[in-house]
Amino acid sequence: MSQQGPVLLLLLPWAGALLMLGVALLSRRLCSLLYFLVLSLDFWVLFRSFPVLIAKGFWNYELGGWAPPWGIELVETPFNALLTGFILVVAILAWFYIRKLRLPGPTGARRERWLLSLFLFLTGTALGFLLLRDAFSIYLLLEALMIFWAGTILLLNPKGALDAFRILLWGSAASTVYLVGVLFLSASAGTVQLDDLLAQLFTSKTPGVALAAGVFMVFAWVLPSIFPAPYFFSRLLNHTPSFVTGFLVSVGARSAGYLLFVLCFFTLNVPNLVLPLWTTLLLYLLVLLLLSLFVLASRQRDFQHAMAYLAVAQGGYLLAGFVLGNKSGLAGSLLELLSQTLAVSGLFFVSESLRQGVGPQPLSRLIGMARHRFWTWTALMVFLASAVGVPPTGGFFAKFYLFQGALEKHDWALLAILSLAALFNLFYLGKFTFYLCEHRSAVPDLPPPSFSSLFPIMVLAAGVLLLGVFHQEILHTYVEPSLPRAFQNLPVPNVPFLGKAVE
Amino acid sequence: MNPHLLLIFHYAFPIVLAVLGFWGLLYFKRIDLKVWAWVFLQCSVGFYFLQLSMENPAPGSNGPNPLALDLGSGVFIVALLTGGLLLGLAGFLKQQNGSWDEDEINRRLKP
Repeated sequence: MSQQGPVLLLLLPWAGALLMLGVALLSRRLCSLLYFLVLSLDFWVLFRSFPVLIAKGFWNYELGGWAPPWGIELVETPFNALLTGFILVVAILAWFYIRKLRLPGPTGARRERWLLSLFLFLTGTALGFLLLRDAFSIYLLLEALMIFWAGTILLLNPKGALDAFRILLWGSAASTVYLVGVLFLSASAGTVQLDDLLAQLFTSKTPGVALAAGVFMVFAWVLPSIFPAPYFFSRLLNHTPSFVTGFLVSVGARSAGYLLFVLCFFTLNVPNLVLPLWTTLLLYLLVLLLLSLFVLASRQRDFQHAMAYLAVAQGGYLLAGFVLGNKSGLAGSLLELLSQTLAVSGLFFVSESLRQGVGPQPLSRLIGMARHRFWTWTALMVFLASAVGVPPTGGFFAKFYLFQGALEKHDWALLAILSLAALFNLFYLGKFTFYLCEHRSAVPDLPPPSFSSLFPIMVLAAGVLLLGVFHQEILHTYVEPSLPRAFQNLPVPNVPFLGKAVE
Repeated sequence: MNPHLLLIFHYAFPIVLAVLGFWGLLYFKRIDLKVWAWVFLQCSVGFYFLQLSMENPAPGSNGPNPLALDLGSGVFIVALLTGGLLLGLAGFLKQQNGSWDEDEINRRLKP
């Protein structure tokens, strides 16, 4: 058990999901119990691996004892273990909403059970993104993510078949383009193991292959990064329970974000690779485009649509850190990733607790909410403060390191973009807070609070605050050891050279 | 076989498939045709992997490279499974909305 930690961590949700397909024929209560037990067990396995990770720095596990490229390698680092913990927490908290979900129609009860199984499959896929170090297995996981994503939408939403079709078709086509990148790498390096690839590309002096492969591979991130922008998914947002959207965005898109970090900085980051001007310009434009979605979020009249744009726009901060590429920038991005996993799911969970059934959720219903749903309002404020960057939330410190990275690199363009986004968001947060606290005589038309709707959002809000309060420890223990070696504070070996000690 | 023909078959065939696949994905209005375009795209990558396995034999043998062969077969299996799901979903949409046309289905599903 103590030697099989990473593989158990990965396989438990998959095994639980497969088992649940059978249990789904028997009882809903049994399915619910199995879901909770599997995730709790997975969490316990993760908890047991932390002492090893803190002591060793990482845990390499070769599946079946086969070394790469024939075998598949799993790598657990302090950071991906922490992110795994956050994903498991979100999945466990989603259970509180699934328990209360009642789907209409004669097949409703059966679909509710299958939903639990799909949530476990999605959790397993996300954990695979974090742990696996094999480019082809990652392709299979990308395909699996699209299938489970589309399946979840189809299961919950009778009007969602076209959206599910589009997600599966375009998501799968994008994964195929990713595979073209893998093909390039495999043809050039003869391996698909992510760590091996960097060494082989460096030895063969083929940075052009890394660049071409990278350009193809990033296509796989288009769909996760635009989901659930209302411009493309308006109908889907209106007809899908909010907590499901939150789970998909938080677990699926954020784990894919970590995978992008690994690919960019551990696989394709060949030392003599120089990015051409057009890719640099394209990256800056993408950051600008994503952050400009904050403006669209502020113009929405529907609460859930506003949260959807907010979730997509925050991807701009992650990308900004990757574009900066220095220690502070990357540390800011990784801290942002942790913070967003909690805050984005929290925003959609709040939306779920304020919603009665499915359908549009006009912002006007929330006027004066602070007076009638105080704890929900408090949690919402914490999540928004993290998204905007108000202390002492995790999101604030993440953005602080991003600013520091831009200053250290003298990247004034990115600094200007980040500052504009921060100022706009602060202004809008003030306006929105005033709106929620406004005194009106009429009681807002909101469902009454319950323990199962409040508990998950309070836990997530506490997590966002704790992330901010303990950001130094998290940076030192979890984030720094997961950065590229050039940015780690490793002692420089004192190599004797011609009889003299050299620093 | 004539080496020139072999070369054309090895390289031109997957490229033509990929171009047709992309073109179809972008321009077809019918969802069933879009799925076939997707299958073309997927198969082109599968063929490339198989081509790679033929060109880089395993060390010490004349057989195909097993890693590339594994990856190529994997792509075809994914094409079969996901393609089947996509076709099933397209058929379901046609049954529900009475049309293969994506815009027409979208109109009927509004709001």
